[in-house]
Amino acid sequence: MNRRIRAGIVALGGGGLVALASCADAASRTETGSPVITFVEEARGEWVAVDGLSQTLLAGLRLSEIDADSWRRALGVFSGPVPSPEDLIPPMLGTYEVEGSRLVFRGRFPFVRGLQHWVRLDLEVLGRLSGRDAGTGVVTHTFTPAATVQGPMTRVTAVYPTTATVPMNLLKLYIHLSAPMRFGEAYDHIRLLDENGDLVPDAFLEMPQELWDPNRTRLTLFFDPGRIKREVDPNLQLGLPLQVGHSFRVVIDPAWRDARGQPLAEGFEKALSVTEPDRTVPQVAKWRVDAPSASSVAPVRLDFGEPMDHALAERMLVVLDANGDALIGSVRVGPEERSWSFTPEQPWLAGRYVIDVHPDIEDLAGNNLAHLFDVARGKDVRVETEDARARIPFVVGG
Amino acid sequence: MRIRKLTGVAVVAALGLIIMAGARPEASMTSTLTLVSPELSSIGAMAFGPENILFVGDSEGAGVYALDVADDGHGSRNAVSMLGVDKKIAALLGTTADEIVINDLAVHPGSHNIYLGVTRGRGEGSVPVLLMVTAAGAITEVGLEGMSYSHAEILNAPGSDQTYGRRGSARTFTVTDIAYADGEVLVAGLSNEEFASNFRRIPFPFSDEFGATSLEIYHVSHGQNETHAPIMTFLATEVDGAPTILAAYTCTPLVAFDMSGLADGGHVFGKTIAELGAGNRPLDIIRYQVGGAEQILISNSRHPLMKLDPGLIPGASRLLSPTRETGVGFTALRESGIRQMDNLNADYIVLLQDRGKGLELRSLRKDAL
Repeated sequence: MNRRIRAGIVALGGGGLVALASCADAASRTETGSPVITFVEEARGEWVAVDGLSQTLLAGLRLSEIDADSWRRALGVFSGPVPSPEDLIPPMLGTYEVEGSRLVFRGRFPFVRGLQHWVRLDLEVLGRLSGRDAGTGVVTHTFTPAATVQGPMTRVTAVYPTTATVPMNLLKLYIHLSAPMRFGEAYDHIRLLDENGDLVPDAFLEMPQELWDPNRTRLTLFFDPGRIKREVDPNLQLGLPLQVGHSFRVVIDPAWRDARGQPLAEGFEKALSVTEPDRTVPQVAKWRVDAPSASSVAPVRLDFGEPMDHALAERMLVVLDANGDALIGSVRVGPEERSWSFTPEQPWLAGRYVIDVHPDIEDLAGNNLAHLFDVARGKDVRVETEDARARIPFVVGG
Repeated sequence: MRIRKLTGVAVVAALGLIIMAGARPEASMTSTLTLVSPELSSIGAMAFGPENILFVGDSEGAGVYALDVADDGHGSRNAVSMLGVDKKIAALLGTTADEIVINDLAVHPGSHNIYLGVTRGRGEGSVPVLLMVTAAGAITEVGLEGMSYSHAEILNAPGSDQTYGRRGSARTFTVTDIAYADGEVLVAGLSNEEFASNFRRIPFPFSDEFGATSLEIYHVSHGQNETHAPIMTFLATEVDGAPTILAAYTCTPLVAFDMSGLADGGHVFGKTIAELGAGNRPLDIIRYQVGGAEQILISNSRHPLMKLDPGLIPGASRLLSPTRETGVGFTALRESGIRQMDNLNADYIVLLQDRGKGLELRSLRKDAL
């Protein structure tokens, strides 16, 4: 693309850097004739170019050592609408170079698509920097980089846990989206409603940083731990957000914007039917393992007997052979996160294996192998994590 | 947080002694920053440390950077007053104020320049940027290109073995606060997966040999052990001569941890000394000395600025029973809308504050608080 926008030349009365728009309309011709400002977008980059400057002026600029602040006083590029004089708005950061017969500004950051920009060239200041007479007057130009082409609309692809029945002390939800989301809006668009459709206030832990994965396609949403923990202040004042025997809905409204600024294709609702709180650590001894046969690439399956945290179930289990080496393969978490399976890349060899379970694996209430999420009075919570690590043996028969 | 910014000379001196006792030659820390041109995934909580090294929490990268910002300035600094800080920063970065997130503020102890950790953009192509507000009121970018640094991971691999790795890339550690104390970088925060392990200690200078260890800190709150609440902000300080972490939780308790018994394992029990009120998120804790008296300030998301006397902490009774008592008394000051706070110099604190006229950078005299 090579899109050049002709500058509208407006000669303005001079003014300091900060008095941007003290627009006395006094036109003043310049010695250089008609400097022309253009915004150039090409495959190799984007920049603001000033053409029509005299050769002597350009030569002077080439020879002079000019610091960034001085450049910005001479040629200021501003984002957003033309600022008012009292705004004291600084021009954007970037680099300046004389390239052939033109002066070129490249932004430190990409120009924001769809946002109006404003350029202000002060010929008198430019002349001073160059050591040559450039005349007086101010040339301005506005441009708006074209908005990018939009792809398909973003949608919620899953909310974990997928089970509808959850313990009263459910600790977190994972919201998966089909494309990266915009930062800083999540808590405005996710609400917990009770069965009457009334908002449950302050249900979630609102971290200003928001708990995203690096791609910003998965949001971790914690229920406010202060309300789940027994006998702490928010719990006493507000009670638990979820109540046993009642139904709730997590409602995601479609106005939530993705990283391109587009709203979701549609809203999403997740029903929760609340049962008694879970105050037991995951009972690994009761997990049932279903061993495959040798020479096959059938998965080894593990039944948790209860739903587990989705992200941690995917990550916290490793299959080790008799030498203690981890097998290579792929992991799948089963329906309602109640089971787990591992499919090896290479066919099973007959022999003994173990599934190594890291103690940080959690159930839906945040209980892991080493700690209860919520410890009752008088109990010793100090469990050494090494002790809590579990190894589930299985044998692949010949 | 930000122990090295304390004006309390006694505290700084005591820490210096601790550092020397650990046989760490003080002048050599910057020389351990042997890498060049850090590439931060994100810019989160920040704090200056020894030799004015800036520690930056990178939540997305689940790591900590130690940066040599090469700011050797020394000088006094007067009051600060800058309106529309977010608009100015946005203009400088070529965007609009609603696309700017100011993640943290830290004042350089020598130059008193105000460093701001900023994210440019909330959508596609958002990038972390380090900025500095000089005494003259200019906002400039602190370029990372060519800057010396070192780096440490916050999250260890889950277990000593391999994992299937597929989820590894989804894991982050949101750094809510960071501080340097006694040869260690202390990091508080919250993983986006595990709820446990939210306080880390990383020996500094960073080395491959000694990585992050998780510190299990339990605070007795209303008769129960709380183990897994995320610390939102903390102050590494001294109380009664003992190294102490004063931590504020999202679940509202303010807890004092005596760190002197840490040598023998990773468990510390703290005592809850105050409840800051429900529905509130503590933002920053600073300590300073003014007129011969020590003061601690706590800024909050919903509640006003709170002041408490650190001298009351040793004698504070534990909050054991579920009551509405508030423990150590604190005074609510008539300042709200505070987003960031730090010590500016001996005379002033500096605030990033929203008083209904947009974000402003503003200083307050310590002797008037």
